[in-house]
Amino acid sequence: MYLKAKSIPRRALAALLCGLLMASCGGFGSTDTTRPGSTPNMNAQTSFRIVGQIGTPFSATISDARSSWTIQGVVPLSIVIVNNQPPVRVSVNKLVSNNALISLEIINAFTVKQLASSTDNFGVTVGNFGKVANFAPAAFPDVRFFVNSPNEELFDALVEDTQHGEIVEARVPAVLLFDSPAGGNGARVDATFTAVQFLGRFAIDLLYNGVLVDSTSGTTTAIIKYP
Amino acid sequence: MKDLSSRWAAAILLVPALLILLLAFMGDSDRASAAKAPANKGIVAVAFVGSIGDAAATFQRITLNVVSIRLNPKPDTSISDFDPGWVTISVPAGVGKSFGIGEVNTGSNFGGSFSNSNNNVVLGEGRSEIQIDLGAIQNVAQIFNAQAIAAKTYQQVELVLDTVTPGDIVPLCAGAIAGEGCIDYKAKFPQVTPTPAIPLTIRAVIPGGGIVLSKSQHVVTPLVIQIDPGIGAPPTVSNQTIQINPSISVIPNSTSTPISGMTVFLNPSLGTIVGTITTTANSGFASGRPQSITALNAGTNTIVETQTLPNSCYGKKTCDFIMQLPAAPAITDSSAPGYPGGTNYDLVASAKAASYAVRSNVNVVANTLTDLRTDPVSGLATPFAVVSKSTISFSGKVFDICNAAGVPAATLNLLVPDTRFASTPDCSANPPTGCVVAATASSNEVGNFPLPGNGNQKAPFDLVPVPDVSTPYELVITAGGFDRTPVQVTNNSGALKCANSIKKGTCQINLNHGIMTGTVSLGGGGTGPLSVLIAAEDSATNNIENLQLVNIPAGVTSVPYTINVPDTDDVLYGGAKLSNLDFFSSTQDLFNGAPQAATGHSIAVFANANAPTPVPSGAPSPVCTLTAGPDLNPMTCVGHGSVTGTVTNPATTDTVVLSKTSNQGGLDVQLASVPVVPNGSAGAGTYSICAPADSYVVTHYQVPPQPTPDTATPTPTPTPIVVPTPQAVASFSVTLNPPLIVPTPAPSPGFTPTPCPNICNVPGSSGACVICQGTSASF
Repeated sequence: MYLKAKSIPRRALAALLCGLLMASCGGFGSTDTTRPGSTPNMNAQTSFRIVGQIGTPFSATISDARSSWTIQGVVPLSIVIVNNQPPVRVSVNKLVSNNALISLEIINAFTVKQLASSTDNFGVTVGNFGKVANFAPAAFPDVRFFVNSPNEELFDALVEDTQHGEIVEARVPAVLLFDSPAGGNGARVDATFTAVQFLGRFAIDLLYNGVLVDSTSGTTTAIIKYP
Repeated sequence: MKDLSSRWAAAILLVPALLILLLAFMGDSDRASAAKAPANKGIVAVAFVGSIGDAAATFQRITLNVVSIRLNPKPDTSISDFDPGWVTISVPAGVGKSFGIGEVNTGSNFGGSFSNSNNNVVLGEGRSEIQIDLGAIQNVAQIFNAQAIAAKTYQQVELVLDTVTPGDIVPLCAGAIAGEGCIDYKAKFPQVTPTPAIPLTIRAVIPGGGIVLSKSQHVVTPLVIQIDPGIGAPPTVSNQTIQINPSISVIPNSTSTPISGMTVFLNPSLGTIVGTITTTANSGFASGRPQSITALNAGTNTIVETQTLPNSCYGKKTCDFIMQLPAAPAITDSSAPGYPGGTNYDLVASAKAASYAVRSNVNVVANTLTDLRTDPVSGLATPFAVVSKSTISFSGKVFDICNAAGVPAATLNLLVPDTRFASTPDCSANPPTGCVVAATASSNEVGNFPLPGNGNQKAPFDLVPVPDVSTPYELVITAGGFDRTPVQVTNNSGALKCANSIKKGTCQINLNHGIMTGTVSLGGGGTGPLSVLIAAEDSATNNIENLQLVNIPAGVTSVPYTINVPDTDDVLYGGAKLSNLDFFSSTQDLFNGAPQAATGHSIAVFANANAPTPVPSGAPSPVCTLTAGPDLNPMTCVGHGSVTGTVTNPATTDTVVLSKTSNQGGLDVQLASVPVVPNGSAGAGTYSICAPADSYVVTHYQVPPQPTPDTATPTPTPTPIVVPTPQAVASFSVTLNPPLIVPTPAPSPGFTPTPCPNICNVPGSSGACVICQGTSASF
């Protein structure tokens, strides 16, 4: 036991060292070996949290400048747009006639930018990040990663198409919406999920144009792809 | 994309994951648990009460964005923000346990940072915060959170709001040139001088020497905080913020005679219940299968609080519990509306390896102890008697009968009859009077239920006790646009079996519905782009069955819609079958590029459309056909309007309903329902509604006097008492004042007028400011 305990800091140091090495070699996008120093910034992660009375059903329509999605789910749910193109607009309506609280949070990076809530029958909450117009056309292809388990798990995900990859972070249960993969040409998408807290096994579904095309599970990491 | 990129990514992602995990271990993750309260800690449950006074006649909505509550043993309210004595109680950050093994829990979730300390914020989550609607909690408290903290005496409390956006406020329309009404304004703290600014703090001394948290009490200590937003003047222009200067005070507890060594707290905003739980387990209650008691709003699956038995109960077969719940005050006049006052709850006891024990429709009154241990008439003991039973998991899938696809976001309530009654209540009825929702679950994106738990928390339906053969459960499935579908769940040789299901232990459920189609159209020459919400509700009620969002593209005036609705087999509240539906549609407008909840277009209504007939039994696939629904028009830009006034003789749960008269025989279609400021509060009887400037009918609804439920009758009572429903008591027609059109100054050399944002293009307002005007109308 003593040896095991003593070894933990060494392992942590080794992990940190690996991280530093990878970062210095261009990991995490810290450099671009083809154009050093010219890696463009990307938009900060925009997330939506739909919270309140647990289990309250809702329908949410979410739009960025290119695409929109309609999602039916229950509280709580985190939603992240991968390859997001702001501004974003959201409309969430309860799907139940009761006084349960539903709150919509729009988060940009680390900050809650907007909070709106309702306790009305089939109450509607709306939000935006940036000045918006009408909802964009429905996403096509419509790519959604549903991370259903383990509940409360914080995870990182690298979501990729054939042209670019993006790392996002969210808490289960969550839906990752992939906007315009491969420039809107569809093609192959994949994602690698890594657990942070290790609360249980991942259970992840990939829906492509409304069809469940793959499901996967895993303890600390899970990989899912289509086709 | 390169081959093997995913594996490399997994390796790369492991490092930040480990770093974040390290941070997580540094946080305080000590959640409240009565059963496992850590040594030297006591549990405090924080509740809020709103105090907005006469502001209800000026503002339609006042909300505060609450991040946390802090307690400090020192009474000096000028101490530093960084004083080491501060203890933080954050919003419910984790995913609560629906049932089964429970801690002190509110049934709410507001997302989460890494820990309850709310200091470690991760990407994509922000700081957890809850939006409190102060108008909705004026005399019935809202539980904020409960947490185990160091067992000290705390003498002051601090309210921590979001410093960037401390709240959101919707003013009513003014009676003159002012900022636009019925849109969302951000709240802002006052500018504090001198420079550098002194941080604004919202603190109060806890009266009576503070709250004393003793680890030996084995009871949750309530802390009720009254919040006055200190709201400033309404906006004079539409791009302002609205100043707030909140203050708080603590509504002190009193105590009654201790019960089983536990302190009995009483509070003017909370009702206190005491009950007994008995078990047949040989070893009594045990830490390995903590016994929880959950309170739900009567007749619903809305959890208000879940609490576990204290660890002093371990090893015992009989143990008392005490619970404080938000409750309205008593009404003493038996002929007065709302009598007997209070707030009704359903209670359910649940644990691993034990049966459910339930009590329906318990009336809980503020500042009063409700004793559930014995029948007040017969004197017989009435414990929550749980029996040792195997608990097993229960799962399945919900299907749309029209296309065999899974139904997402369906709600599945497992109803258990309250067996105190002479005859076993029928839990398949609507309403299921005398039955309690003992467990609830939801379906995922492909219709599978329940949603998963994790290694520490069981999923809903993972610990379902096998029912007695003589008392099956009823699983009631609901989803927006589908028939309410009850399915009996029975004991089949130790497994759970659903009626008409093909497998043991799983439940395959088909939900019926119809599909209606029609068009929505803009009027007054308006064209898209616009989004339109279409609602279908049971005729002459405010019970919405489904809502659908459609988009009208640019340059277009009309688009078709389709919406799922229940069919004529659907059993409504009260037992009648659905025959007709009312429809209404409203646009979702933008103000200066931001969507608003209140529309500026008139609302199109259609009353009494025939509901679709059920799918013929055994019909070939596809079995569902489209039913012609109403064409909803016109929705014309008329601008915002608002109406405010007072009702006569308000009780505590009154509402005012806004309706619009249709062209179908002059029938009214209900559009919205708003609460009335309750009796006993400043501004009692005030209501306020935002709506487009149009003609409406306004109706006052009130709960008629009721027989006292639960405790005033001997056991067993002859029949369970129905949860009361409001009745219309007064009504009148009102036409809301149209908006004021204020021309903008003409441009001149060196002066270019700023364009005025408007909710929509009111005819004749081109280039002008459109300012909505309020209307006063009292009953």
